[in-house]
Amino acid sequence: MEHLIAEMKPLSPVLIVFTGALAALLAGVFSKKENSYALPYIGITTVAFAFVALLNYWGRGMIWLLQGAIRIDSFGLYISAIILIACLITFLASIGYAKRLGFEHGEYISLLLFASGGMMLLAMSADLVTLFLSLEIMSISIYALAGMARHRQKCNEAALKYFILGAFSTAFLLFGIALIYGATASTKIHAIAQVQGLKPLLVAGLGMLIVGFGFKVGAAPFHVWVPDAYEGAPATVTGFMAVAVKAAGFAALLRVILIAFPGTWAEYWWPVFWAVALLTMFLGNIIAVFQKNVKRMLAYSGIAHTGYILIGLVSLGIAGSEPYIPGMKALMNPIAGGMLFYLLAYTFMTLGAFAVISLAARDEDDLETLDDFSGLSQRKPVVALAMAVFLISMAGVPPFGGFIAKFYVFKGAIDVQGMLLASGVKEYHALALAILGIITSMFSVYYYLRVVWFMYFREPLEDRPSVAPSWGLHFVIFASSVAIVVLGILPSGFFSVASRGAEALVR
Amino acid sequence: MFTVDNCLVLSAVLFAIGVFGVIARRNLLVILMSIEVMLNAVNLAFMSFARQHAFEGGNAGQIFVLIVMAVAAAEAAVGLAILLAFFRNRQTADADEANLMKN
Repeated sequence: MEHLIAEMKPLSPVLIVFTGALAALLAGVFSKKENSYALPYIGITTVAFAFVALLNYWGRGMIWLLQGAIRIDSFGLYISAIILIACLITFLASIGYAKRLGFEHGEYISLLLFASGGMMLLAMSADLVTLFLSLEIMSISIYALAGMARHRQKCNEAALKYFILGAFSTAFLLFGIALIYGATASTKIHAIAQVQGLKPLLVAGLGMLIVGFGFKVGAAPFHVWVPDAYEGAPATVTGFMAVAVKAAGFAALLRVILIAFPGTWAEYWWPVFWAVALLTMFLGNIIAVFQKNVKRMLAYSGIAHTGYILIGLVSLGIAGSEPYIPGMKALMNPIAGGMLFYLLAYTFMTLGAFAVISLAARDEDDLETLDDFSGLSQRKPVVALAMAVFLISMAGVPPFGGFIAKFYVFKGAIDVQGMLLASGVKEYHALALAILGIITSMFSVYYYLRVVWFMYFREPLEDRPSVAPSWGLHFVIFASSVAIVVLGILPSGFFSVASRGAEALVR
Repeated sequence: MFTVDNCLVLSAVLFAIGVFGVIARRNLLVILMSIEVMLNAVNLAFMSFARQHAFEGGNAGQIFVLIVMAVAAAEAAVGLAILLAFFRNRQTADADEANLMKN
């Protein structure tokens, strides 16, 4: 028993989060209705403790747990930190908002914590059994969260669509895992890489894994659930879904793809991701242009951001499949670091934007259509300014974090291309992807700035009573916009942390 | 008759039936059941592979089946709750009726 406790110690960030989830559930059951305002603070305290525990293990190298089912390394810790930040921001934003929508219960806090714990475990799992289990802890909690405001029809619908497509994609992922197990007789991610030779079962398994993960991160053509789920779910949940699920999904995808299918295996998967990234960027950005609903527009923009992050994976694949070119290996860590930096910047922009949507609401509904944003600068000048910062950063305009993130990703692709050309390989896939990425991100400037234009140059529509704002939302909006500016002006420190996070996957 | 290969073929067929059910049927309960069929197809595949790897792979496949069963039960519970909330508001269990949100 004592041995087990000692062994589980490095897992303490996850265990603290799960304990907090149970505490919130009990508190929700036993507390009186008028005390329910205190529930988010249980969540906030839990996240703070978990964060301290997590920092404690940063920079201590790899720790294997439970016969190799879990590997605690810089990558898992970095992603866990993003997830905890997202969870904290969601709690702060929920103060007041949850009450307005009628789901100020213990379950809400508890489910958010369970989902976060599952995501952290997902980022740390080194075995496909743990990976599947933590993926489901995350997904099942998020299905329930998406339908949290259960008296709203749109919310029901969002949960329903997310659930059916999510469960459908899980089945694909699971079949992929079964095939990989069949081909390699192992579920350990590191052991799969040792298998020599190309087995058809293994290739089929890889394909199904890509389908399953593609659903989770919202990459085209598996993105159909994203707009409906984002539009219908309550704004705070949508922000959490957009950021944390994507970060956790990418963590699992990167770990499985880069560790189980490394080196020359990349020849098989990078063309797939190349096509997926291209389709994702174009579909996301082009359909976003036609959206009247701001939440839906942000959903499509989230799809587009998935595409940009995938550019990094494609560059890693191209670099990995040409290991004999001198200097190519040295490029891989900065590329992966760029992807992790992108996830961090995306966290603040997206959560900030969804916080504005839930703050600036005028009645019980979320502020959703473009018309609802007209004249926001007159009603709430500071909030409008913050929203402008988030949107301009998403569009990738300097000097904000979003610009630096896109810069790192595109630079990675162009560096790989330069290295290929220098050694005489005349293939232009990496360059093409970078250029098309830059072109699509120019489309995106249009639909982001359109919201800014509505906020600043339109007269407000008829006056509806404005909602009492909560300090939590104000704080979130302020902190996120500061973070975006800091990430944009002083990125090097954060980038070196992200690169250290990536060291666990590619050196 | 019950060779590993035959079981794998059966599993693939079951999985395909499940996929077809999710895509083609409109009743939400039938869609939910089709998803369960897909998960059971996966279980069958795991069991067959576990038998094939009986001497090298340990019992990871069999453990996986138990975990999948537990998770499928949890998923079905949440799924039915979501379906019930939808049904209460709309008095229908038809997937095509879930059409409030459009581009």
